[in-house]
Amino acid sequence: MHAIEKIFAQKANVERVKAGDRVWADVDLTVNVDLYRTVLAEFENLGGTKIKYPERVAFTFSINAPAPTIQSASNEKDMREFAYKHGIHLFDINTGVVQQVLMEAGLVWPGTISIATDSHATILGALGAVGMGVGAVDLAASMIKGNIWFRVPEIIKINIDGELQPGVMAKDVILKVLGELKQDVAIYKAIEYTGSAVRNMSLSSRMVLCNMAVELGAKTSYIQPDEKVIDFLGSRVTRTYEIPTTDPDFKYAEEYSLDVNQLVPQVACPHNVDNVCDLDDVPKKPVNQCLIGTCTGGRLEDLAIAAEILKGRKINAKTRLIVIPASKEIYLKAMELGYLRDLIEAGATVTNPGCGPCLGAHMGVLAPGEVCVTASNRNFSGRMGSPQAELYLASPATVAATAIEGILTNPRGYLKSQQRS
Amino acid sequence: MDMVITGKVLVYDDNIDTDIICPGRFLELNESKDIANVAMSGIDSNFPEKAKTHSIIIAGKNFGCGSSRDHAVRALKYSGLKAVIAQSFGRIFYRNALNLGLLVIISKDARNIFNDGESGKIDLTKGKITNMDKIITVDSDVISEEEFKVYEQGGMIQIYKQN
Repeated sequence: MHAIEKIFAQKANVERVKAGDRVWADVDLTVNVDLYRTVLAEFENLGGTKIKYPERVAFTFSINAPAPTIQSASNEKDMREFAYKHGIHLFDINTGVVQQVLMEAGLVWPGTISIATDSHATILGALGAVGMGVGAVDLAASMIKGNIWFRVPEIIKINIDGELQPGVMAKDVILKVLGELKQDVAIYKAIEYTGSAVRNMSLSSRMVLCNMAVELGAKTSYIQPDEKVIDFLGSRVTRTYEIPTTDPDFKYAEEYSLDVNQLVPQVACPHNVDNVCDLDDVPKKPVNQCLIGTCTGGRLEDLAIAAEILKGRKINAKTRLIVIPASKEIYLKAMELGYLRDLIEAGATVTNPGCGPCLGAHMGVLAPGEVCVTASNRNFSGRMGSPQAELYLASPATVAATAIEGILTNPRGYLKSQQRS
Repeated sequence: MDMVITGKVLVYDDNIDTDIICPGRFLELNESKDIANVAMSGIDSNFPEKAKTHSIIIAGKNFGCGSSRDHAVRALKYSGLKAVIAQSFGRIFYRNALNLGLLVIISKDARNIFNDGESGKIDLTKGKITNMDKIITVDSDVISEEEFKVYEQGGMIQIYKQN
């Protein structure tokens, strides 16, 4: 069996599972985000009065945070009261993006199953955990019963070998994968990433690959945990856990490989995540807004490379740069290390940790005709405001260099060292 | 039980994502009529009007890709849509549709035989989809009577309620 199958088998309390099986499996963590007051309605609709395992349920407030409208404020008020009443985990508006906060809080470890009203729950594969997006009905059912049914997915292997050039980041790798394999390659399936480039990546970089697995259509993702995962979990997870492994005779549904030695910065052009080109091949047009942040591009190494590029420089007078640390923990570290000062002095607008304008709710939505280059994960039409705006996905390094020039810019010329932070 | 669905169709391309079906700024909405009013507003502001006379969506690959928001399913269901046929679906959308009782059917070929406004007939147990204007029939996934009953009752949520 694959490690993912072993996780499903263990949580379903059966000896073996295989792709296509339907199993009822225990859920270790059930997570609702601030958008979905509908979860409370479905909880009631299903006859829910009590949460089976309150310590396994969390609400996170990172999207409409702080609330931009009376309606979202009212939704959040109801959800807070529900959380207080039932004694579940509540991560309020001061904490940061959903999965980042949960990982930092030690609520996720190898071998666990999490569901969330957050499609980017696939990011948990970076810790050797199964994370899956669901809607309000499944979420409410899991709150009541502690388990839901799953279809065990086929598993695709994407092997990534080679050494990244300076200024080329995990975001460029996953955009290249999207451009090659397209956004429906993994529908109903899971993705495991392997290879020397993945092993050599920081945990934060691996999170970028797993985060955007959902952009390839995947149900969940996986990277075999190593000492980097154990170091991160360190004092965060005090309980013991077993790291699942894949049997040597396991047969993947499909296998793909990519060599990244010669990879150059990539850009996903409007309005599809798989509409990917080499940065240098994209026609240059004035950029109105740059965004560094979110669950994809707001971790410490992202802010570090942006600060390295922007320190002592100024952003283009006709360009805005919004910077959003992914969590309070990252925000504080970036402050201690001076990154925020460097970014603010260069002209960045630094906001509170969270999702910012990524899904078009507030804090930097775009006007018709505006162009935004963003380190976030989706460039769908209307994603960040007007459907007549254009979104280009790129790495945090590319976004930082672009903010200086005011047009899409290769970050290579702006890096002080050959050493990636 | 009536296992045949008929209606005028609306045709869409590949990768109709959840931000098109229900943009993020509307996710604070809780009431069904409010959610129905914004259905497909990322691509077609007249959709709620069209949904009064058209009851089937036919699309290409990866319909409903993207976010976990079941507002996307709710928006289409509350608009009065009877079914969505696509070459493939984003998996969270598909699961949300089963839960909430929006009929979703996979057909590789239906997209190729329809234009906007033509009349379609879906024979669920036989797995056949017909363009009634051109009299062309293609295959689709079969929906069993048992599965259809789940949809008719309002989706898996009704099964969960009984247990």
